[in-house]
Amino acid sequence: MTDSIIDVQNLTKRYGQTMAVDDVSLRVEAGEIFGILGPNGAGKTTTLEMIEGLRQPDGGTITVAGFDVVRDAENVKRRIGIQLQSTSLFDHLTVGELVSLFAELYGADGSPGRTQDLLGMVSLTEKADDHAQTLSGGQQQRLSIALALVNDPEIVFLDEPTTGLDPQARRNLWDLIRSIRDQGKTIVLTTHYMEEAELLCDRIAVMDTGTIILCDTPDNLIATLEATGSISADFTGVQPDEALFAQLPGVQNASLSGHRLTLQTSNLNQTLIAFIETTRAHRMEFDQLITTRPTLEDVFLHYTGKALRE
Amino acid sequence: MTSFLAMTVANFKMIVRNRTAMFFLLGFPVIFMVLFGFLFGEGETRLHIGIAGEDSSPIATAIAEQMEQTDGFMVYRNDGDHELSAIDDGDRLVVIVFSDGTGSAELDADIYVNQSNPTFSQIGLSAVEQFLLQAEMEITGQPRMIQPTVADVEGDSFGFIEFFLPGVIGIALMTNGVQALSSTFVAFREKGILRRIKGTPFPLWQFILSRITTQVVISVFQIVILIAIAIMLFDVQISSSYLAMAVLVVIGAFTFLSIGFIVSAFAGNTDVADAAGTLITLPMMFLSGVFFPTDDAPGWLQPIIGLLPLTYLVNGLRDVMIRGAGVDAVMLEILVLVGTAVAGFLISVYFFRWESRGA
Repeated sequence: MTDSIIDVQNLTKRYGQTMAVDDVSLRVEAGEIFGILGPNGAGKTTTLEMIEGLRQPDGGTITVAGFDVVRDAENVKRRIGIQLQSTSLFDHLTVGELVSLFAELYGADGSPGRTQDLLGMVSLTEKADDHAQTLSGGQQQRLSIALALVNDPEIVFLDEPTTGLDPQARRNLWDLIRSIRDQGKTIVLTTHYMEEAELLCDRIAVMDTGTIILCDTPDNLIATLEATGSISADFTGVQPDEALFAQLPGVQNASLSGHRLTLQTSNLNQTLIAFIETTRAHRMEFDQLITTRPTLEDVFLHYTGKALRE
Repeated sequence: MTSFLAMTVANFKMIVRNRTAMFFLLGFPVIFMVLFGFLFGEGETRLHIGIAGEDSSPIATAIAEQMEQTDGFMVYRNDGDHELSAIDDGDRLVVIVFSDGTGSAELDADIYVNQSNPTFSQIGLSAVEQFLLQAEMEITGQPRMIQPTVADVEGDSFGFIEFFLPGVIGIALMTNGVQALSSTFVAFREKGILRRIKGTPFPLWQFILSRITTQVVISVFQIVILIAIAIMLFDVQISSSYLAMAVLVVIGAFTFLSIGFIVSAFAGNTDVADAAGTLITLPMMFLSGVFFPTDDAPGWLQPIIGLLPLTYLVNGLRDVMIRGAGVDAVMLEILVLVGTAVAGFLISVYFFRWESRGA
């Protein structure tokens, strides 16, 4: 047995000829923010909805908080909070009424006091009497997160919570998600934003075409590509010779754009030392030297051979 | 239980706050009835009296002429066969057929009374008898030359509004059940609300039952308003046992809700649901005898009319509301409606989908 709060083994889901989810296994530990990262159509939502008990798996086992999701959906539903991707809610009900209604549907406390607390948590107190349709995108997402919290769940599932939000609203939502984690809850979210996965998640499963390619902390994932990176600099005097730099150790590609030279390298340290030595030897002057370490984007590119965003 | 109550209260709020829905639920049937009531229901306060055989005696002619000039009577002067068929169809309250008496001085009068509404026919009969007595005195100066024989006729109901009200109730139950339910339910599915509900421990059957409860209560409320307006504006006489009426209304509500659920199960989106709803309700509205009796409809149409649930609901309501029949007299209608409801719910449970196709 395991202490993991979520334990998924060999999960599969087939839609016609397509394997939407193909032999996925993963574990989520209590108290972490776990991200499933991947492009649209990678199978993130299908995986999430099978763990939530909303979709019947074709194969594999899912244990959530000690209960088998397929056999014991009722017990699982009481212990989890869910936010679906782009669900709109009942029309003609106010924000406060929606929170109270969903609390009652979970058999939880739907009293005005509790509703106020939940709305306070997601900073929607002053919107309690507004209709949900009148909220902004960020406010609607915060409302649906409040609805995911009505039953004081152990685990909160968020399906692409920040998609379509502006950067400010996205950052606000990250703070909210962190504060929910700080209450001792476990959070599982899907995203196709690298930055979100890197800054928000404790661990990430990288998913593509129905399978999990990698699963680790963001730092460890990036560390697998640690040596790679790029160096670029603006040359102020003579025009540099690309061919000269292309021969430096580790360099995979050298390109010149105006006065700016960019080197892609498989060994950042080695190439950087050689770059400095070469410019000294040839008395070339430059400024704005920038080196970049790999991002999750590079990790994704490296392991799948394609860019995350289309 | 509190979950169910909370969901039902929320359902009420959603319907009552939705102005378009409220218009179609309350405003539309009321406007419909009031409009048609004033268009076709003129002269409802007058008693429709048919007179035949007036040639048999100058006295009879004089009486007919005098009656025609009296306020409160709407007099039709025709031959006996015509008038007796008119009373059968519910177009006359009382028909007087004069004929030569056995003695030369006497005048026989057969008085036929339409008994479809006992209260109304009592008023009609005594008004006619009173009039005859008085007119006879004035014309002949002798009492009791006319020998009246009273006969009851089990004719159809007599006013357009009395005819139309059960039809409007049927239409209201039908639109509320088929169209209002299916377009709401399909929208719930389209918007992912059904899936969100599936994510809660609240069972689907309770979610559906809550919606049904709300719709049935709204329907009953709607019908109480319709009847109240019909009584106030058009002085409609309801000779029914209210129990029998309530039984039919509630069963009818379930029947059309079940049809609404079938539409919801098959319609992929709200546009399709609305179109299908109209396609089902519109022909039914015209073929089920809501506006005019279907007895005269062509023979090939009769089997179709006999298949429509609205036909049974409206017929049943007419028997109960206008002819004062009890539940036992409309057993056939009740059975057909219950059967349709059960079949409808079974079909819609079998084809139920949580989410739109292709999602």
